[in-house]
Amino acid sequence: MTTTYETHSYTLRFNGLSDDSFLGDYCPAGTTLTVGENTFTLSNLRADQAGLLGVIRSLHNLGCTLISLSVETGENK
Amino acid sequence: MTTNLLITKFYQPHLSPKQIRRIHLAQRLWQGLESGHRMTLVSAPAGYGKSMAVAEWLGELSEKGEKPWNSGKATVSWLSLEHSDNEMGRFFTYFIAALNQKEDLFCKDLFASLRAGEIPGVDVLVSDLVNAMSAWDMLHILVLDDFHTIQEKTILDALMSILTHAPRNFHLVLVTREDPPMPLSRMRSRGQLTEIRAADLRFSVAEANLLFRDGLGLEIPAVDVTRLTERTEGWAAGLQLAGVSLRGRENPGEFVQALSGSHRLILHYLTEEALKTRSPEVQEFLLKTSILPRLSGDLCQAVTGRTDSAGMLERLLAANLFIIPLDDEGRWYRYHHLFAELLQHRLKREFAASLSDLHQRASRWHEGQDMPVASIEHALAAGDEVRVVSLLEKNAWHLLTHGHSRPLMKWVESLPDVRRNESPKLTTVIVWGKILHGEYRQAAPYLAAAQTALEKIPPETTEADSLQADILALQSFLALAQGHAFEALSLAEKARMLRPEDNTRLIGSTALALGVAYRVAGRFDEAVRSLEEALQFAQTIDDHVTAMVAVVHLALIWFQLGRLRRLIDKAEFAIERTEIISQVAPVMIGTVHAVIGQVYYEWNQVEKAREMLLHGLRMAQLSGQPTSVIYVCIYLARLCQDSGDLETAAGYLREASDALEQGGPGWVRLDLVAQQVNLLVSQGNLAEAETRLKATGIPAEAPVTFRTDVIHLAWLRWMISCRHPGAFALAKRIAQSAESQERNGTLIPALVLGAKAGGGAAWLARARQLGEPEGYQRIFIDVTLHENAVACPELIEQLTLREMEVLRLLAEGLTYGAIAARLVVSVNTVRFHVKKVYGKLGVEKQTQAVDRGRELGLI
Repeated sequence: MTTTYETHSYTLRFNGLSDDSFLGDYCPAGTTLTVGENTFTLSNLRADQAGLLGVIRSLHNLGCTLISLSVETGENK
Repeated sequence: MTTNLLITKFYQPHLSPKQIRRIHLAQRLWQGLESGHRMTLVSAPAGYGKSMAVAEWLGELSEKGEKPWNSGKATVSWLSLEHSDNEMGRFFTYFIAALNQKEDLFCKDLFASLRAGEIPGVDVLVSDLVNAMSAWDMLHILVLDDFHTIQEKTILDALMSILTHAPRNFHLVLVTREDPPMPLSRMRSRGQLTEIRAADLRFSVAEANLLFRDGLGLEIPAVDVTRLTERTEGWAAGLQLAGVSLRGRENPGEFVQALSGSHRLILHYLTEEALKTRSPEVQEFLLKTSILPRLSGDLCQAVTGRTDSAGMLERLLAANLFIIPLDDEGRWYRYHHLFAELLQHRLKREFAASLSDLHQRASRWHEGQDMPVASIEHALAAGDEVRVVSLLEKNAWHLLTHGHSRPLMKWVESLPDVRRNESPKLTTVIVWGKILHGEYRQAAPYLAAAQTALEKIPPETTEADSLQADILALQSFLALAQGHAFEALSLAEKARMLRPEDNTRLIGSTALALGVAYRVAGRFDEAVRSLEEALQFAQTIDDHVTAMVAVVHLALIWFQLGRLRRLIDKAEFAIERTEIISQVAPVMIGTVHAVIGQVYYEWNQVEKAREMLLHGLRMAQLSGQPTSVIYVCIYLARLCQDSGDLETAAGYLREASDALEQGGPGWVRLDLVAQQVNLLVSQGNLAEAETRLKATGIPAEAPVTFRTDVIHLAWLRWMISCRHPGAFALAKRIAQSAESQERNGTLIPALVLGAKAGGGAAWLARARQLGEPEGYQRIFIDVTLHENAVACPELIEQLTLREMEVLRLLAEGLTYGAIAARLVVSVNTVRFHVKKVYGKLGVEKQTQAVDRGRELGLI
C-alpha cells in the first residue's frame, strides 16, 4: 500500500506535448521522457504524494491531459 | 467603513509552551538558509504540522545559540493565504503588505496602485519588487502559508521571476499541501532549494511519546504509542486526535487496536472520537463556527447565539482542540484548516438546513462591523443572492473607489445574469469600473443591460431618474472615448438635468462627465465650473478616484490656458490630500504628476520636472491606465528631445503609441501626433513630418480651433524648419485663435515661434509679457540660444540650440560628465553633440572649437 509520505516510482502518460526542458525543470532527477504521437510518458518519476500532485498540476497548467498512471511500490525515501 | 487588509493574515502561528520541539527540522531549515538557498519548500498533505514546524524554526535558536534576527540581521514576515488570494492583484497586495509589516514604505507606489485595483504588467511588478528588495540591508524571510491555494499561472510566473532576480537577502518559504507547479527540479539542481517533505515531518515514536506525555498530559504504555505511531504513520493530526480521544479512557489498548485503514478513514474516525469526548453543546459550537475563517468571541456569539463564546474559545485552546490563536490579546483565533474542513463536512451532514442561516448571521455581523468584504463573502456562501445584491448595491461605489474594484467585478459577474440584470445599479458600477480602468470596449454590453433594466422601472420616479442620469453620464464617457465630442456633451447635459440633488455620488459623477465633455468641446469656463463641482462633491464622500479624475482634467485645462500657478496649487494639494487619507493610488494620478512635471519644465526646474515625470510614468505604468501612460510619455518625450536625447524621446513616443493602440481614448491622439512630428522635425526628417501632419486630416490652412491648435503649432514648427513662406501667416492665425479664448498655453509658443517666423522682437516681448507672470522661462531660454544660433552666416550648417549650449559649457571648461549633469543627459549624448559641433565648426579639438566659436561670435 502506498502512503502519503513515501517516495514511489510512477509512470504517467499524458495527451499533449512535452520536451526536455520540462523534464529538467519540473521532474525529479532520473525521470525519463518518451514522446509518442501527441502523447508522452514520464517514467521512473520518483516522488511522494505532494510531489506527484505538483507534477500533474504543472502539466495540467500546460494543457496536458493525464490518461494513465501506474505506481511501483518500492523503497522508502 | 473599512476595506482594510485583514491583519490576522500576517500573524505567525503561536507556539504553545507544550509544543513538541522538533529540533532536527529546524536545523535542516537553518542549514538551507546558511547555504544560500533561495527558497524553502515545506510540502506535505494536511495535518503534518507544516506551519508549526516553520514557526518553530523561526523561533528556534540557531546552532550557534544566536537569533540572527534579534541582532538585526534578518527579519521574518508571514502571510496566510486562502483561495480568494488566488488573484494577481489581491495576492501581490497582501505579499507587499506582509513585507510592509517589517519594512515600512516597501514598494509604496506599487502597493497603492494594487490597492486601487490597478494591476501593472508582470515585468513592471517584478522589477519594482526586485529593485525595492535590493535596497534592504538585512535578510528578509517571507513565509507563504497554505500556498496550495495559489494556482494562478501569472502569480506563479511572477514569483519565479522574483526568485530568479531577487538579491540574496530575500528568502521565500512556501508551506503547501502539494508541490507548486513551479520548476522545482531546476532549483534543486542549482542548489537553490531546501525541502521538508512528509517523510521528514512524520513523528517518530519518541516524538509521539513526547506529544502524548508533555503536550497532552497522557501516560500511554510504550507499546500503544508505538502502535499508534504506526497506525497513523506518524501523521501529526492523527496522533493529536488520537491523544484527545484517549483522554479519560481506561483501556487505551482497545482504542488503539480499533484503529485501522487509510488516513482519511482514520481521520474521520478520530474526529468522531475526539468530538465524542466533548459535550453536545461544545460539538455544536465547533460545527457551527467551522464556517468562519477567523473566530472571535463576538462573532461566534452572533453565529451561535451563545453568550459564553469567548470563554468557549479559551477552553478549546486549553484543550488543544486544534484552535490556533492569531494575536497576542487572545481576541482572534482560527481552526487548524484540516480540522475545520472535517467539521464543515460534518456540519453539512448534520446541520445542512441551517448552513445558510449560519452564513447569513456571519454576514450580518460583518456588515454591522463595517466589513463589507467578509459580509459579502458570507452572503455568497449562504446562497442568498438577494442579500448579495443588496450588499453590493450598498457598498459598490465605495468598494470600486477604495481598492476593491477587481473583487467587486468578480462578485457581480458571478451572479446569474437574471439576478444581475435585475439590479441596474450593479451593472452601472461595472461600467464605471471598466471606464476607470480604460477598458472602454468591454463596457458596452453592461451599459446595454443597464438600459434594458431601466425600461422596467416606473418612469419619472427618483429611482428611474437616478439610473438614467448614471447611464447618460457613462454613455457620455464612452462617446468621448470614441471621439464623438458633441454627442458626449449632449449626453452629459441630459445627465446633469436628471440627477437628484440629494445623491452626492451621482452629483459628483455627472458633474465629472459634464466637465470632461465641456473640456473636450473647448468650453473651458463651463468645464472648470463642472469639474470643480465634481471635485467638491467627491471629496465630501472621500471618493478619491472621482476627485483625481476631476483634477486631471482641470490641470489639462489650466495648462492649455497657461494658468500654471493655479494648476500647481490645485494639483499638488489633491495629491497631498490623497496620500494622507488613502493608501490607494487613484487611477490617473500618473497624469497629474505628469502635468505638474510639465509645469516645472516650463519653469525651467528641469531636475524637478524630470523627477515628477518619471514618477508619473511609474504610477501610470503601475496603473496600466492607457491615458495616463500616453500623456506622461508625450511630456517625457518633449523633455528628452529638448535636451538632445532624441533616441530616448523616440522610445517614449513608441510606448505612448502602443498604449493608444491598446485602448487609449481618441482625444489624446492629436497630442501624440504633434509630439511625434516635433521629434521628426528635430531629426531633420521634414518629409516624414509633413506626411504625418497630412495624415491627421488637419491641413495647415484649416481654421485653427482649441482642438486643432496642437497640430497647427506642429505645422508652424515644420514650416519654420523648411523656411516655408506661409509660416508667419499661420503664426498669426494661431495667435488670433488662442487669444480669442485666452488659451495662453497655445498663445505663448505661437508668439515665440511667430517671432522667428517674422514677428521679431515685438512678438517675443508680447510672449514674455504673458508668460513671465505665470513663471514661463524654458521657452524663452530656447529662444535666446536660437537667436545666437541664427546669427552666424559663415556656417554652412547652423549649430542647434543644444549644440550651442554644449559649446558654451565646453568654453567654461566643464568636463563631459559635468556637462551631462548640467543638461541632464547621458555622457554619450554629450559626446554625440561635441562630435557634431566639431563637424560644423570644421575643427578636431576642444580648444579649436572654443576658439572658432569665439571667432564667430557664438560664445
